[in-house]
This record gives sequence, C-alpha cells and structure tokens, in this order.
Amino acid sequence: MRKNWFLWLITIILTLVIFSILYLTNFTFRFPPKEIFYIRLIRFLVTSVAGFTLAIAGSTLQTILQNPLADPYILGISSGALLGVALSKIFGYQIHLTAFLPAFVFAMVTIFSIYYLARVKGTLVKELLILGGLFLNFFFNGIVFYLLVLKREVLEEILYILWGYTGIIVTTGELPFLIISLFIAFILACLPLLKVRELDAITLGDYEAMSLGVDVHKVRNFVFFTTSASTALVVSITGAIGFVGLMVPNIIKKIIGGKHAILIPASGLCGALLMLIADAISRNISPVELPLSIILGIFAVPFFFWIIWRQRNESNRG
Amino acid sequence: MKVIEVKNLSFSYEPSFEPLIKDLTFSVEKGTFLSIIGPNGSGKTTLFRLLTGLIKPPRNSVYIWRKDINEYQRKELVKYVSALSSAELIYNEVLKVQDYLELARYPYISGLESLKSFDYSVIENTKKITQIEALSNKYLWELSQGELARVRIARVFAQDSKIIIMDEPTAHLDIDHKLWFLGTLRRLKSNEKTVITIVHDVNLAYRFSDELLVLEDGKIVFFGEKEKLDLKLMEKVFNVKIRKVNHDLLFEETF
Repeated sequence: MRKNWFLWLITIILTLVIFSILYLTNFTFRFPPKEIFYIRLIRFLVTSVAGFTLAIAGSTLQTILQNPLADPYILGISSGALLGVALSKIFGYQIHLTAFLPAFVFAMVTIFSIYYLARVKGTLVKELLILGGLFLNFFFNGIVFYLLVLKREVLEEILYILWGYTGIIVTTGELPFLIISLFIAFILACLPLLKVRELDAITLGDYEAMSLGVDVHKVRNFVFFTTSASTALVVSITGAIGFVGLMVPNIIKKIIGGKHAILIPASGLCGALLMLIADAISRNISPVELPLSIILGIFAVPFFFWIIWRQRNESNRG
Repeated sequence: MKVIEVKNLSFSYEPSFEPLIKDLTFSVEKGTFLSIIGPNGSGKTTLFRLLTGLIKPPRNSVYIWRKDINEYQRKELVKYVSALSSAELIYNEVLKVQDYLELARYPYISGLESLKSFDYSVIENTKKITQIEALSNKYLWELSQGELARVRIARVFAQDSKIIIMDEPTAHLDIDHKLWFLGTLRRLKSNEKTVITIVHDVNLAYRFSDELLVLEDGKIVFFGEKEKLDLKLMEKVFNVKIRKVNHDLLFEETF
C-alpha cells in the first residue's frame, strides 16, 4: 500500500511537471521571448497555487465537516472573501494584500456562522451546512454584484471576479505583494499536514476522535483558520473559483485513499494540475478567455453524476 | 484510592431544559468493576459522556485522579480514561484496522513522531487477545458489526488507560464473545484497572461486576456492592418481577 502511494505521488508530480512545461510554452515546446514568458510565468504561478490551495482547503473541510460536498466555494467562504475584496475595490485599494484583510475577515465569519448554524443539539446537520452555504453564496454574490455595478468602470471585471480568472495584470510595484501572497497561501495550505493523524481520527466521527485523544475543537478551528486564510488570499488575487476543492479530493479519496498524509499533498498537486488544464483551455480553445469556474463547471457535471452513482452504490451496501 | 469522584453533578444540554442528570454524588475506588444500569432514558449515556469528557461537565463536579476533568488536555485525559461510546456503525473508507489501532497509541507520542517498537508490540498483543489478527488489513467499512465491536474493544485495550469506561460494549457481540469479553474485563481488574460499563443486560451486569449503580430518571436510586442490591427496588425501577436463582437474576413480566 505504501509503495502504491509513492507511485501515485510520482505519477502526479511527473504529469504536473510535463503539463507545466506545456503550459509555459503554450504547447509549442519553444520558450517565448522574455517578456511574454515572464507574464506567462506569473499566470502559471497564480493558477497553480490557486488550484493547490483550493483543493487542499476542500479536502480538509470535507474531513472536518464530515461532508464530501464541502468546499470553500460551496460553503460560501469564497464569496464571503469576495465581498471583502469588492469592498476594498470600492474604496479604491488596489494592492492585493490590502484586499486580503477584509477578505479574510469575511471568510472567517462565513465559515464559523455556517458551522454554528448547522449544529443542532451538538451534531452537524449535513443538509443545513450545504443549504447555509448556498444561501450565503446568493447573499454575498448579490451584494458584490450590487457594489460593483455602482462602480461602473469595473463592470466588465465583475464577471471575471465572480467566476475566477488568473490572467490578472500586475504592475511591477504590485509584483512583490503578489509573490508574497502566493507564498503565504501555499504555506497556509500546507499547514494541515502537521495534523494528519488528528484528521485521520476525525474521519471516525467526533466522539471516536475525542476518545482517541484528539482535541476535535482545536483541530476544527485550526482548519477553519488555514482554509479561510488561504482561500481569502487566493480569492483576493483571482476571484472566486469553484469546483476544484470539491472534485479533486473526492477523486483522490476514491483512487488513492483518504489518509491525509497522502490525501493532502495529492489533492494539492492535482488541484494545481486541474486548474492549469482549465486555464489552458480558457486561453486556447474559446475565442474569448473564459472565467475558470465556467470551464471547471463543465468538468463538474460528469463528476456530479459520478458522486451520485457512488452514493447509490454505498447505500446499497448498507 | 478514589480514581473517579463525582460531586453534585447536574447536567442538561440546554440551560432551559430539565436536567437529565440530577445532583449525582458518588466515587469509584481503584480496581473496581462498576456497572451502571437503569431503564431507557434514565441518563446512562449522558452520564457516560460526562464521565469521559466527551461532553463538558460543569466545573468542580467530575474529578479524575483528583483533578477536575475540565483541566485535562484531551491527549492527557485519554491516558487516564479510555472511552468506548456505544457501537454505532462507523462507515469509514479511510482507515484500516491496523491504522485505527495505531491511532490508539497516538497519546503516547508527540506531534508527528512515529510509533515506537513498544507501541507496535502493544498493538500486536491486543490483536492476539481480541482475536482480530486476521482483520488487520481490512478497511473498517468491510467489517461486520461483531467484528467492528471487537476491533473497538481492541482499541480500548491498546490505549492502556487506567480507567476504562464503556457504553454498551457488548451490544453487537455474540453470546460467546460477550462472556469472553466480560471475563477479560474482570481479569483487567487484577491489573489495577478500573472498569465502568453501562450495560443494558441487567443480568450480565449483576454477574460480572463488583458494584452497581442504578439510575432512574437522572437520579441514583442505588449505589454500592451488588450483594446489597434490594430486589424490591429493582422491581420498581424496571417494572418487572425478579427472582434470584443461584447467582443470577430471573426476570418475569408483571402483567
């Protein structure tokens, strides 16, 4: 089994490396002139870190909330963060780190309010969790749309902010902030690796995990913090991107296994890969560059049927 | 030595609700085998959760090893109290039996350290005792209810805590495993372990334990050595007729 993991990880890394080269050379195997390559490299970094971060956020949230449908987008964390970003845009801040703080605050507020809303008499009600996320999504997106419409000049940007886009234009002054933000998001996303044993125990349910000596509340708050902070960072750069955090961890769990020591890194790498593919499609296939959530949404449909089909099989098994 | 002390413990899930546990006071000596019995809804499971810290009791009402249970770190507490909540089905695709048992040793190592050879020998030993060696490489979801019950018992043994508190540990076991298991628990007693079980089967509780605690409607109606148990009182609590046959109790319906 352990050998298996290793092989999987190698395969994923190799695929990622190959696709990264394809992405950077735009499928020509010839590196472009310096200026173009430079822009493409930034786009590559933004895309892959966003995928990495969101997929890991999804995998840890799914464990902590014991719900395979949990992901930063569905739970409304992304759109909460987006509201923060929109507010800072309205007030004229442009640097990404200043957009981050309000994004982070709204993301944290969202995850905790969803969590407490869905707790009825000490147990998490799965349906309430998803429903709560759905309503908060509508609510936040409504406000964001309203705020941005008020500021006519950014009207065209709205679509891309609401649906996620990594081809942002960065001035040289902003570049250090961007790199730092990406780096912090990456580190935050990796932090749950320190808690793999606790997360494994939590898959058994709260009481069983507590009986195994895991302080479930502490781990939950820790994951809420890392996911909302890293999601807020990503959202403040790219806008809200859906489905990566939902799809990738579920596929990894099915194919490789759900132990977090492998689930977290494998989800992250595959998340980056999926996002790069989606972005490559966005740049090359359609005449206009599409927001990423739209392309990922098209991927998501067959995936959705797969989940339903799987759950049907599970319930048959009893 | 008193390993568990309960002082004026009252509890309800919401402040506005009527308490499920009403002003309990009792203590358990080291090496005792205590069974908690009572009809449905008498507060047994709530009491179990309070004694194991799965839900937080009010301050200064539950003491483990002379220290308020709320003052323990979770990881520290499980070295003193091993909790086995009633066997609900764990549908878990993530862990194998071996992984699960390894998690039981987690309190004894720090952070991301890996298990020591001593921990592995403890795990091997418990697998032997509970006869689950063949299940090692199975996923938890593949187990039958009876197998799962034995694996969870193995987990408790692997934790090697000073006090073992269990809610309905025998619920899904066949009769042979039931008797074997309670016998094993009795043997643990000689290892200076303290055992508290919540057992639905009054007869099994009566046969295997030293002391009994009878709960009715959140209150203690009897606590003490089982020989002193008042059968008239039991008849009233459980609403049956009881006769004593040798060392067993025989129940008959009242209507």
